[in-house]
Amino acid sequence: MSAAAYAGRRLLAAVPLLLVVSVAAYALLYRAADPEARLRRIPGVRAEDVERLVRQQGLDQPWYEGYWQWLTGFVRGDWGVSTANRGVDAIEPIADALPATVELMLLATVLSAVLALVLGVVSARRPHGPGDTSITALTHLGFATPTFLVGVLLQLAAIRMRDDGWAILPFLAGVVVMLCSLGAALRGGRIGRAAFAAGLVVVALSVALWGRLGGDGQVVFYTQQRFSFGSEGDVLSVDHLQHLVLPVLTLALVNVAVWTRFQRASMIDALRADHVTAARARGIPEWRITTRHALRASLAPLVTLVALDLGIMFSGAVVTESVFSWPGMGRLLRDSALSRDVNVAMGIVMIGAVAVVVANLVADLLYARLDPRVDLGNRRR
Amino acid sequence: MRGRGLARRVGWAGWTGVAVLVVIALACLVGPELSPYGPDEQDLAARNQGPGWEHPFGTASLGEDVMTQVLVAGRISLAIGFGTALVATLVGAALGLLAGWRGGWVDGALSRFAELFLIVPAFVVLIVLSLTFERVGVAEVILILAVLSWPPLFRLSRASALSTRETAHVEAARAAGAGGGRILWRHLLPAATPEVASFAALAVGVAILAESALSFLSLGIDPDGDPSWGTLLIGAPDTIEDRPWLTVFPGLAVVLTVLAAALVGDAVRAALDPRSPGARAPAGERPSS
Repeated sequence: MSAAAYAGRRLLAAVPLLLVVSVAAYALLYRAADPEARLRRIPGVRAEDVERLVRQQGLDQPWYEGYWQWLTGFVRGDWGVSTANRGVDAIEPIADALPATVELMLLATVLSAVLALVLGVVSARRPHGPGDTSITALTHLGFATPTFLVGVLLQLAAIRMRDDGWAILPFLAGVVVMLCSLGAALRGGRIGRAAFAAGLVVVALSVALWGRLGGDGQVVFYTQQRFSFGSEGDVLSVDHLQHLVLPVLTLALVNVAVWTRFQRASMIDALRADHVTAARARGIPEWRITTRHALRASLAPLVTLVALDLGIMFSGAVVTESVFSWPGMGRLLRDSALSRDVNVAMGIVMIGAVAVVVANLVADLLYARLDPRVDLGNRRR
Repeated sequence: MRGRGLARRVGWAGWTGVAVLVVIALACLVGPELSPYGPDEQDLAARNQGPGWEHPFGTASLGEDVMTQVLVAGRISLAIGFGTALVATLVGAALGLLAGWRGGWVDGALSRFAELFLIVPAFVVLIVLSLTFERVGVAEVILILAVLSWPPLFRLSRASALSTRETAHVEAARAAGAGGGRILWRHLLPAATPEVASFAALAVGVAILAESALSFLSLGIDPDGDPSWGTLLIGAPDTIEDRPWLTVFPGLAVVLTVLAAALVGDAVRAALDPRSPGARAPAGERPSS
């Protein structure tokens, strides 16, 4: 089956799923939404305004009629009004939030894909060796730490950096190295011990230099918002970069933890393959075998994960965006859900679902490209 | 003999995970009874103290003992973790085995149903679901998180049943006159067990992580009721600078528990599936970016 025909069939098959998702989401949000009760508590809100809001959201009718009204509007591009934003079109807050989210998550995805690739390959070169033990410790730690805690800790580090200077960076790096090489060091490996000792030295040095490298209250990394007040909109400014670093790092650390495990597993498989053994027998150097013969064969799972992640991207990173007050889709979804802004929430739900459908499809197509054994027609996910 | 081999294959990492889980669970069950303080007991003379002899984990803003709070909250968090894993595993494995075994329209319908939950990003499901409850308690959180965790388990067990169904020993059993129920119980279920059990162990940790994230977004368990580790961490952004112990100890509790669950998950797979290279990736999904 050709890729185009396959794609067409998959997208068609997704339409009923998307419809069911929209019905379920609408019914649930409708049940949860009660703008009247909330608005009537606010003094100065006129009864006819409440009525108008209720009508605008289609909440004055049974949910299925309201749903039909929403659906017919939605497919024609009229997504209804946003009640939390003075009745502007629901598309507007979404259009404002989408670039912020895409920027954040695209950068985080690229960073974590590169890191996961390198760490996974290093891990797989010598499974259960010192490098692998350390990286595995790191990934387990990253997996087990709640995302908001990672964010909050990074914010704390940024505050310390503002007050006490740059010494915090080597200090943290040293602590991480020590933590991760602990296992390898305890098992008595020379490399593990050397790494642990190096970490200790770095930590000691940075404690000695504490407060001496910069740290005169100058902000290096901002912990809130996307821009400083007054410099809104300039995506290529240094100010924007200073805002971007911490949330991107937070998201990347979480992704790297999981992706490295996948890359490690598939690289170990790839290095065990017959063609790699054959290449070794022919005397091809190990680094060349790793980068040329095994790497490509090992890429499929990671590429799939990245593609799927790019789909999830469109509904935002709720937790990270909340920690850093990042004005993205995730925060908008949470806010609109909490303020019962049904039309905006529905818009985000549908964008998210469509993006996941497309991303799933892209992932399968890429997988088939990378692994010639996969036949598109017979592969069912 | 088999038992000894099993114990060895679980490995030191796996046993460490088991030990940590047991210690944490015991501490949470017994600890609050032994503690001289109540979880909400205020002591205005000892407000905002750092860790010390009187209060090993320090005290909160009204002099509450943080250690007692963490242990009491652990009961809720562990209940949510294990409850979610149990519900999701039972539902996911039962439906998955059924779908893989029967095939045909049963498989088609169940697979479509599972896809519904995979098509919407996890946090969208969490948020929409948590809004539909008047008051979110332990049972509601378990329900919400289980809705999210069963589809991967469904896929795992369905795939396993699909491939096991075609193997020679199942064919032999069928030829010997074994009924459908027997094949399902004696052949398909045991074949799926390594993957499912390993994923279930991991799901305990993932549920605890997801619960803490939900609480952080103030969409989780009702903060006026009994606290969970997640609700204890809600104030983390405001208190981490001046009173880090309020964040460090509940945070450590979460990290250690999830870490232990992940280690157990890895070990279970390695121990039950002798063919496993012990190198597979965690199939865990983290709905908490």
